[in-house]
Amino acid sequence: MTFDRRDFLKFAAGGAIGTLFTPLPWKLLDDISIWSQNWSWIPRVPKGNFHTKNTVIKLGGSAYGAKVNFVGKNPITVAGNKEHPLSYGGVDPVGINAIALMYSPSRVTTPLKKDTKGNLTKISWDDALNILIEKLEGASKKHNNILFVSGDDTSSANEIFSALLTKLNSTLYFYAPSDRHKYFVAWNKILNGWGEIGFDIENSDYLLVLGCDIFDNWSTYVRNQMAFGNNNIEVDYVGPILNHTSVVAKHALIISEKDLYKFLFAVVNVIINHLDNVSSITGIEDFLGSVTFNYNPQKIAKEIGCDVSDIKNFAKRLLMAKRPLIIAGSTIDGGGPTKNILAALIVNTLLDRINKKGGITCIPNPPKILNNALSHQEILNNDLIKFIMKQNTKNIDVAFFYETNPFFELPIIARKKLQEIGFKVCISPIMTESCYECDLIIPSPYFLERLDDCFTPFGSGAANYSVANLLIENKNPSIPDFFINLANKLKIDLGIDSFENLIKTKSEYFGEKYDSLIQGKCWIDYTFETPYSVKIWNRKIENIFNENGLKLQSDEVEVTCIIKRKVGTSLTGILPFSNNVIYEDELPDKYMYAHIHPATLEKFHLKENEKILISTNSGQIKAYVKEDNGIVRDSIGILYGMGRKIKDKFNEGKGENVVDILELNREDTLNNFYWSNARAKLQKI
Amino acid sequence: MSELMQIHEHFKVRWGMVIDIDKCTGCGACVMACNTENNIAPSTDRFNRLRTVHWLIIYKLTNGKTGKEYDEAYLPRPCMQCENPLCASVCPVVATTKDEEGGIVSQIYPRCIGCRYCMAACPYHARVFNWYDPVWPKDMEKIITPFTSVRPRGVVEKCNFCHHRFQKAKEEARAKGQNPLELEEDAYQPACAEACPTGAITFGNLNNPKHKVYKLSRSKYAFRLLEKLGTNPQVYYISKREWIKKVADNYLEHQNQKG
Repeated sequence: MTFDRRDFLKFAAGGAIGTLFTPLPWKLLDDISIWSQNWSWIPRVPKGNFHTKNTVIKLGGSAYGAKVNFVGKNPITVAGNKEHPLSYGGVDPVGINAIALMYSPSRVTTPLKKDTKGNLTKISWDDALNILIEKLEGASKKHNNILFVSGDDTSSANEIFSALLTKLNSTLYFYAPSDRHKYFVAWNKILNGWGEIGFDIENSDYLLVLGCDIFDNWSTYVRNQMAFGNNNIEVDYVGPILNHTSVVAKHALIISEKDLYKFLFAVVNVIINHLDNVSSITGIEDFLGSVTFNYNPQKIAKEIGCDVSDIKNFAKRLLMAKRPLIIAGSTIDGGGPTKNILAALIVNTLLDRINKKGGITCIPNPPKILNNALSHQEILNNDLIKFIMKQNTKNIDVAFFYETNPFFELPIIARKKLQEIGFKVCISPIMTESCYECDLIIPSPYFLERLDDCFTPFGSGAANYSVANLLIENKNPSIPDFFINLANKLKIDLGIDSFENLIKTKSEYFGEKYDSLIQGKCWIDYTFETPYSVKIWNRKIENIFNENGLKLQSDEVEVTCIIKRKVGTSLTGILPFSNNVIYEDELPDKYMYAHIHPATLEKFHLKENEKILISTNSGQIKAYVKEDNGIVRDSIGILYGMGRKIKDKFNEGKGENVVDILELNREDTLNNFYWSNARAKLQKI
Repeated sequence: MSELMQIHEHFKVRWGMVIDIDKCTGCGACVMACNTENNIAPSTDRFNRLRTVHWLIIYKLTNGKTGKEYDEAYLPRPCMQCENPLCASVCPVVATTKDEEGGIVSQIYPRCIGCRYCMAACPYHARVFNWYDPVWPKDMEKIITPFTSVRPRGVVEKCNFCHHRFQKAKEEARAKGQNPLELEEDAYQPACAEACPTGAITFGNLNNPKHKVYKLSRSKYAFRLLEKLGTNPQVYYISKREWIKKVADNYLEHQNQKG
C-alpha cells in the first residue's frame, strides 16, 4: 500500500473537515479555558444568608445613615438609606470603602505603648488603663493640665469625655478645628445669634456657594448632593478653584478665597435699592453705608480680578431667586478665614433668610444629660488653635486625641505645639500620623463594632438624631465605656454606668424609642431658635472686614488645597479603593501636580510637566506643573490627603502633604487663626 | 450598517442608563460602588489606564477655552451595552454575546481565552484585561461579594449592568407572580446608579414608557458617545452644554456638530 502526495492531501483535508464537525477540539478549548482559571489562589465567593442592617457612617467625613449588606456574619457592601434625612439613599466614597477599611492593614487592634527608644509595643487593655490612671492622677492635681481633642462633634461620647475631664480639674476640651466652629464664632459670638447654623438646602431654589465644596467634602455633603439631585435647585459657585460643586453650578466665578467677602458685599451694593423690610435689622444703616462707600462694584471688580458684569449678573440671579441661600465655607474645612462666613451670614440676614423655608436655620443646641459634662456650645466656645498658640503647651501633662489626626491636618507650627505636651494619647481606628506621635495608642472600635450616636452633623437643615448599633462582634471595649471604667478606677462618679444607658436616656429625651433608633430610625425636629438680637454691623465687625488678608509679593503665589473625598479623610488615610480612582492627571507618579493658571505659568516662566519646588516659611514640597484654567491667577492648587505616613501599600509613596507648606495666619480683630492658604515661592528643579 | 442596526431591535426589554452630566459632581462614588459590588480588587498603585481593572471610569472633560469661557465636566463611562456590539462579533469563543432579553452584552469569564480581540474592537475602551491575579490584602477578602465570581489573570472583563441584580429582580418578580419582563423601575438598579449621590445616573427599561429613562433618552438634550459609529449604545447622556455633546462624538474642531 502506497501513501502518495494525493493521499496525504486527502487525509489532511479530511482531518480538517472532520475536526470542524467533531466537538472535541471546541470542548477541549472550553475546558482548558475553564480549568486554566480554576486556581486555588483565586478567592472564592462567600456563601451565606444575604441580609441588610442599618447604621450610621462617620469616619471623618459626612455623617449619614446607611445600610450595610451582610453575607452570613460578614459585612460586604454599603448602600445609602433612603429613609435617612442625611442620606436620602446616597453614599460617599468613604462609606463605600468603610467595610474594606475595617480590614485595613493599618487598623489599630490592641493598645500600643511607645517605649523610651520610640518603638511601639503591644500592651493589654488593663495595662493601658493603669498607665492612664497613673498619668491622670498626677495631672489632675493642677488646674487645666489635661487636654482633650475630639474629632467627632456629633457623639454623646463627648459628654462622657468632657465630664471626666471636668472632674479631673480641666476644661480644656476641644473639637477638632472645623467650619462648625467658625460658624459658631461668626453667628453666636459676633452677630449675637442664637442656636446653631444649619442650611435648609432641600427647600432652597438658589444656592450661592462661596469657597467650600458642598457637594464633595463640606458639611452634610451626601445629603447636599441628594438635595440638589432631587430638587430643582440652581447653584452658583464663587471660589479660588473649580471643584465638585462648581462643575454642576450654573455659573462659576474664580476669585481668591481672601476676596470672597468683598465680592459678596459688592453684590449687595448692586442690589441695595431692592432690599425690602430691612429697616428693623440692627446695624442696617451702618452696614449699608459701609457697603455703599467701601464696596463699589467697579472698585471691587478691579481689586479682586473679575468684571463688573460678573458682580451684576450674580446680583441679578440672587434677586431673582425666591428662596436664595448663601453658603460660605473654607476650601479646607476649619482652615479658612472667618470673615467670608461672617459676610454670608450678614447677607442671609439682610435677605431675610433666617429660619425661612430654604434659608439658614437656627438649630437648638443638643441636650446635655451628664451634669459635669461641657455643653456643645461650651465646647464650641473653646478654640484649639487659639489656645495652643497662646499657651505654653509644655505645661500640659496629658493630651487625648480622639478620632482626630492633628499631626496630619494642622499646620506644622500647631503640630509642634502639640508635640510639646508631656504625654499624648491617640484613640484611633487606623494607625495615623497622630498615632506615631503619641505615647499611648488606644484602638477605637470601627463603626460596625460599636454603639454610637449622632446628633445633627454640621450643616443639617434641622435637628436630627440617629444611633448606630453594634453590628458585628467586637472583643475590644467601646471607648466611652472604657472611659467610664477609667473614671470608676479614679473613684469619679460620672453619673452614668454605661454608654448604652446614656444613649437610652437621650432617646427618651427626644421622645423616641431606643429600639427604633438602633433599627435605623432617625429623629428629626423642625423647631428653631428665634435669633431676635442679631446685630449685623458695628465697629468691631467693620474692623474685621477692614483687615487685609494675605498679601503676595511679585515673586509669590498663594497655595490652595484641592480636596477630593474619594482620596479619603485625615482619619482614614487613602481609602482601599481610592487608588482605583486616583487618575493619571491627579497623581502622575510619587509627586503630585501643582495646578497653575496659564497666565501664572507665563509669569513664572514655567511649562507643563516641569518639576518645581514649592517653598513657604513652613516647608517645601515638590510637584509637577499642570496647566489649569480652573484656578485663580497667582496661585497653585495642590491635592490634599496625599503624603500619608500610614504604613501600608495604599498610602505609602503617594505625593506629599500639602498642609506641610500651609502657614498659620491671624485675623487680628477676631484673634482667630486660619491656614487654608500660604504664600509660596516656586523654583524649577 | 442599517441591517446590522436592526439585529437587536427585537428585544422587548432594553435596559439602559441615562447619565445627566450636568448633575455629575465626579465624586467617584459610582466607581467605588461598582468595584466593591463586582469584586474588583483594591489597587495599591494609582489608576493605570492599561493595567488597573475598571468597569466604570470617570473622564474629566474640559471645553478647551480660557478665562470666563472655561468650563469642565465629568463623564462616567460604563460599558455602553451597544445594540450592535462590535466586541461580540469578534470574540472567537463566544464568550461575549448579546442574546438575552434586556440587551445586556454578556461576558462569560470561564470561556474567555484572553485574546483581547474584543478590547481592540470596542471603541469605548470599556473592556479591561486582567494582567495580574486579583489580590485582596489579608482579611480584606472577606468583603468579596457572592454576586460575581473573581476573575483570574488572563481574562477580559467589563461592566454588565450588575447582571446579578437583574437575575435577583427577575426571581423576586416570579416569586410574587409578576412578569419578570415587566419589572418596576426600582426593582433592578445597578450599584453605580444606586450609589450616585446626586441621582445623575438613571436606570431602567428604555422600551418602557413608565420608566424615567424612556423619556430622558428621548430628550432633546440626550446623546450617546460616538454615535456616528452606529453602535447604538444603550447608555445615554444628557447635558444642556453644547460643547459636551461635541466632545462626546469626538468631533474635530472644524467639524459642525451633528444635529
